[in-house]
Amino acid sequence: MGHHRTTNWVLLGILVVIFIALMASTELWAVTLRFLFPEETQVIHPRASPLALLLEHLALVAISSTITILVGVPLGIWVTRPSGRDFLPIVSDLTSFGQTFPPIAVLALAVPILGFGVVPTVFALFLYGLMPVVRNTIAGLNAVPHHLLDAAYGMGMSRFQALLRVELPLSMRVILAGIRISVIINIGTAMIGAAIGAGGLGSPIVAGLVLDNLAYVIEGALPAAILAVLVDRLLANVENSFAY
Amino acid sequence: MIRLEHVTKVYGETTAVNDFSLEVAKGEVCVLIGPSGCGKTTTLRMINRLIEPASGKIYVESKDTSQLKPERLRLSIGYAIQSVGLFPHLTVAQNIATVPDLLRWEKPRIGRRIEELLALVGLPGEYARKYPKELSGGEAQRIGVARALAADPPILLMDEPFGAVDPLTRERLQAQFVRIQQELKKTVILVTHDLDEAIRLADRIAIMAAGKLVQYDAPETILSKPINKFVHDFVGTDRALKRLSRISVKGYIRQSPSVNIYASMAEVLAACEKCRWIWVVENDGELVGWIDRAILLPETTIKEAIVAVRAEEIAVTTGATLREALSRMLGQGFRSVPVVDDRMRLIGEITLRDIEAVTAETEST
Repeated sequence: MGHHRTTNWVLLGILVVIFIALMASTELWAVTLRFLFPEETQVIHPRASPLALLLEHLALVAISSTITILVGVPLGIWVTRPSGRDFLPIVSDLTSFGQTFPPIAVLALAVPILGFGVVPTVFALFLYGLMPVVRNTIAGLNAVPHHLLDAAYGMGMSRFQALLRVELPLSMRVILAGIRISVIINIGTAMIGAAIGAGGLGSPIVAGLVLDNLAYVIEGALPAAILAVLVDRLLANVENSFAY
Repeated sequence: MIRLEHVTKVYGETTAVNDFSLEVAKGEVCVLIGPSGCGKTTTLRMINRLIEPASGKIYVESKDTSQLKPERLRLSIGYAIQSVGLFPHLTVAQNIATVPDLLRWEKPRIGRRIEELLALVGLPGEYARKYPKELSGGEAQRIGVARALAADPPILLMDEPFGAVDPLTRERLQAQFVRIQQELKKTVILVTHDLDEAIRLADRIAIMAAGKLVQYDAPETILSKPINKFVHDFVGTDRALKRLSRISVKGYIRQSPSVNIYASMAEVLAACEKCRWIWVVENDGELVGWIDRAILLPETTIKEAIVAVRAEEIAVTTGATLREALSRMLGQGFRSVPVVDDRMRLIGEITLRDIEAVTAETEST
């Protein structure tokens, strides 16, 4: 089991290094895309190098997911406490609503208020990714067996100590699964940020669609797909280290 | 010391515990027993304030519990439950360390305590690093008890602590509990629905029905003098037999005829002039067999006449109860059973007639 986990991490590490190396080599991208699309005059989006686009993309995802986690996990914890239990239905409904609302519509509504660029994009991603985190936090905490809490309180733990020492560790795997889903959704959804100038891997795709340049589309879509798979595996590995 | 004064707990329309008063002396084991729904678990959980009483006072070590912070109170009371409730994400050592950790003991002290407790409950030190899912049911229960004892609380609350294991393991755990309790002398309140367990473990049994205390007495008294029909029916028709399991053989040992295995036939005949059976012992007194006088002829030697036995198979030790002595007799088809000390040396015997006399005492009341 332990051995298997280590192998998994090493393998993932190697894949990540290869991925970054490939992304850093603009020359390689240019040659490959030129070979695939000889009729295009330009094959690399002039906005920035593939690596720079990837980093922009990652920054968008990182910022929005961090906010999602910082809001979603405490929100899920709060509505499972005695003080917040009354708000459980409304929080569930609101976060579900946040996900049913198309992110592009959030963008359209956010731009007049928040302007163009990163801020409205992060806002849309945050709303869109909130549901899986909140939902899984609630599900994970509610799944902690009652007799364990009875033992925890019976031995003298305060509610906060029981939360930190028993409830969160035991629900961590389910919470992390929610975070993983949320982050993966964000990696895909962050593409639309390019439509209002937030940059990222969506930029070459938007430009490619407008200019009918398939090379641009590939330059954005391929790294995004690989990124999603790698991050998914990475977070799944973290999740598995909390299996009891 | 634990004292409950006129404690009542009401859930909506039903009164779970009704004007309940009870005092458990320091170092005593009180077993709360009664049919399901009689309020015994509710009573237990009010003592460490997992449930707040509607009215009445509860004192632990002479302190009014309602005046203490619940967490503070619970840290000073050991708590073991049927489901054990070991935390699956923590090792055995970390589980045992829960309360010492909450009390901010220093690491080396906690480490020493874990070793002590594992030894106390009879598990090897390697168990410290195991996870709960690697333990058998009986081992988990033992760790549960070790965890409850971790910070050496003067008081222990146990809710069916041996409930979730097979009968054989349960008996072993009960025997271990008795041994540990003799050593530690905690004030214990234990909830069970198993009368045999209550009889085996209790100094005093509190029988509850419909939230009320019906009888609170030593097990012997409960069995020999049930206060009313409810208790009489509750302890059942085999209460005479149950009572035997509370009585040590020590008070009933009779001198029994015995001869040395190297003695002459004349000596044998002299030793059991009136009796039919005679025990045979080695030079050091170790029980090695018996002789049936009816088949004895003058020319036979002891070596020929002896029915050789292994003492541990037919004898009981001085620590045994009359119930064990009786089951030995029934198992062997004897009317008496030899009593030996821990080195298998013959001390005397217990006769069926004496046991019958004890059970007759119970039946006549």
